[in-house]
Amino acid sequence: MKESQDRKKSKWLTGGLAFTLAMSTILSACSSSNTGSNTGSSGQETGGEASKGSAGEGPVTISMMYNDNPSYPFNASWPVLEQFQKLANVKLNIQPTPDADYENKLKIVLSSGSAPDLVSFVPLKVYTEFAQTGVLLPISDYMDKLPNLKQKLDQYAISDELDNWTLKDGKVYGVPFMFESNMYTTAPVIRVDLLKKHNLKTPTTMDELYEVLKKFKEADPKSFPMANLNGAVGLINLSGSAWGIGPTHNGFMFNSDKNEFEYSYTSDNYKQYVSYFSRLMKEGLADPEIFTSSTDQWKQKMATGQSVFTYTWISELGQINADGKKNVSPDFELAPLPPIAGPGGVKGPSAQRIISAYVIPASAAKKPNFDKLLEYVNWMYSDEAINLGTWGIQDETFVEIDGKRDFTDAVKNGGSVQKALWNIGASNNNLTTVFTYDWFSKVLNSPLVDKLTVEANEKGWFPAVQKVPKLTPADKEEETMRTTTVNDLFMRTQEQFIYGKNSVDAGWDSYVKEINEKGVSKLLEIYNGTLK
Amino acid sequence: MLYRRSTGFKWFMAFNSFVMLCITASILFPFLHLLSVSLSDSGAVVGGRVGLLPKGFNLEAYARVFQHPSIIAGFKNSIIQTMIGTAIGLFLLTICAYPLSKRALKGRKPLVLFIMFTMFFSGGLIPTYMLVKSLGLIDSIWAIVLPFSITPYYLLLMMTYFQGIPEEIEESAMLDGLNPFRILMQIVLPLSKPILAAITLFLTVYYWNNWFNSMIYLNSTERHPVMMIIRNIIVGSDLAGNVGQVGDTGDRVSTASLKAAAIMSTTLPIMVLFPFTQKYFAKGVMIGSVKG
Repeated sequence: MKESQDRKKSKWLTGGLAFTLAMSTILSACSSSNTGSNTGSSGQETGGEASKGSAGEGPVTISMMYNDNPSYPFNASWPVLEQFQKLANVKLNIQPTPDADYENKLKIVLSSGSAPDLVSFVPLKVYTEFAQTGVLLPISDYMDKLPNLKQKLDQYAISDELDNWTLKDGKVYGVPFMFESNMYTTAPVIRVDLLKKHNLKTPTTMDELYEVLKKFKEADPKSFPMANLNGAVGLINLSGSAWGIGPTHNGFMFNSDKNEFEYSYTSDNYKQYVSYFSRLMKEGLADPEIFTSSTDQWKQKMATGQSVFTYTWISELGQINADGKKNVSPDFELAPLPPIAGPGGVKGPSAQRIISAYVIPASAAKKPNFDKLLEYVNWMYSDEAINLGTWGIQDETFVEIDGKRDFTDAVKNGGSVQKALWNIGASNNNLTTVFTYDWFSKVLNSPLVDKLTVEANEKGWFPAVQKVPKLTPADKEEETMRTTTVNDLFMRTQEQFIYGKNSVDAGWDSYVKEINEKGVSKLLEIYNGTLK
Repeated sequence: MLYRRSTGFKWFMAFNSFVMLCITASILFPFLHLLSVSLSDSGAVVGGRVGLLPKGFNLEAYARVFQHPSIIAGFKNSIIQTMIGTAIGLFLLTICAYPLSKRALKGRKPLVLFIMFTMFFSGGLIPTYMLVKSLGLIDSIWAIVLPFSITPYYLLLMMTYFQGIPEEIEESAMLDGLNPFRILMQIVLPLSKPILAAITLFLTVYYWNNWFNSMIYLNSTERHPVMMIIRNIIVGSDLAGNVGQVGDTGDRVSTASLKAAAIMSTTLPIMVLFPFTQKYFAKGVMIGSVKG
């Protein structure tokens, strides 16, 4: 007994010893590799700083927080990235942060005052929250050093959109990532092969849409003709303007005739909206998971023919059509339609040409590389940088003949233009600042979208830019507090109305009363107060 | 056989096995489904035709996952984080729990309460971030393994286990001339293999699965663990249009397959650990529940 215990003990000891040894090897290996890479990078950084001292020779290091999108995972050896650094004569020290948690990290980094020199892809919501607090640099104060940006802003006549990024103090705290012009990229899409098969007319109004969906349901009683993506918010974003209830700022629309803000989701139009969808739901014309489908589930519904109508990005149709042809029939074709008219008229989805902003922390102004940073930001708006960030590398991925740009045949015939661009680091939301019209149209490569865009501009399908009220910090706080309550109530009752748990006719008045009391009245007071 | 096998008992056993089978199946089937989705053709996945067996077998989704520029470094980082984190955690937990398990220790109760306090109240994310930052740990592995090396819950488990070892053994060892440190190394730890194995497993799983701390504290891609990359593949924008981009229209791998492949390739390494440590694991979670 004792002997066996001894043996066990010695075994344990040897085991422990081996473990400790293994651990220490790993520890030392790791720490040595760490120090290795540390000295490597710090060496380069000191190199940069040293050269800063000697009259700006050699690249200056600019650190940058980067939104790492899983569609094009960050790769330090992208040729476009190398070109960016070479042409701008900077060294970009990029900190890729997963898209999944970007906003979280963004908030932590900004509130703890440890933001890098440049932060890309800051959405309006986060921007307004932090611009108020003074952690961001008022870039509008430095416009004289950013002539390229100024030129692009004038050229694109984007002042309406930019106004929403301007704070009450009249300053702008970021530089925009923007589209040159609106494109008809999201649309109602329908199975045109089925329209033809059942000899139906393309729907142009919500009532006609109802009739068409009803016919589809009769033809295939097991189906749910309408599906939706991105939940209740997604549906309102893409179809709201046709119903006259969008685009909004937290549900509030600016009425330019009366010169005041109004709450959309207590309007008659919104009442019609919920009544319409509750009827679709009741008659089995809309997918019961209309507000909960994930992207994958939604794709499955569309590609198996379970649903035949939805609102979505036209660029998603290629893949769904390919899968649909395999699963349903060789004729399978989902195609975009012009906007379906509702009480708001023939209106497409909201048009925001500024998608996000690049921001610089206020602390960067004191750093030695600040001048170079501004120079780099200005360079990002040069045609050279925009070409590189969108079209890629001249004569490799694109050619320019007589001022007209097009992709090379190798890129065009490679299966997917987008993929080819992603592979070299172009078409990247963190490196480029402008998506020009001709570029976007060539990437989409859909004559139909071009045609619809021309039509949209001619017929005024794009709704006016939604006005965002300019709030004082105290009002902003009040807004944040109230908005949560109001939105919760709005979402909850919307679901109850549409799923028929609460009848629209019976429950409407008490809903309006409750939501006004819960904060809408107060918010209207705040918002309209900003107009005086 | 201690009891006679009555008909009733047989029925009971049959019923018992059936229920167990159902439970096992309910755990196993989603897993198998995910596996077959990861191995199936895009059309079949989107068409919802994939059940427990792959349709249109291909490995493209896995190829795509492993083509990710940082995935190999990610696996390496995860292994390093897990090993260092577990080793440090185990070491600190042991040398912290052992003295605290001694009733004779002066000020033991306030100390334990002090540690337990952190189970219920924390400083919050931003203060913790500022602390880690001011310690100069940002963007290094130590930001991941040091601040979280002592988990109060595991500490309590270990303390309870050490308290269960008869004091007489340690007293006799002391009479034989061992100092407290050697008592710990030569007497107590060899007797505590179940708890050490259980805590090792807990810590390993924790460090392997944890992406949040790495997301917050690490800035360079070359230090990111694989879970962070996988999470981005699974939860990040799955629709290019949402972020103002054009989707990749020619993609032959469905996002569902890609996600499934990503999940499979990171879960398998940690799952193979379970069969080997399971016997300790079962004991480990029951520690503290039986007294006397």
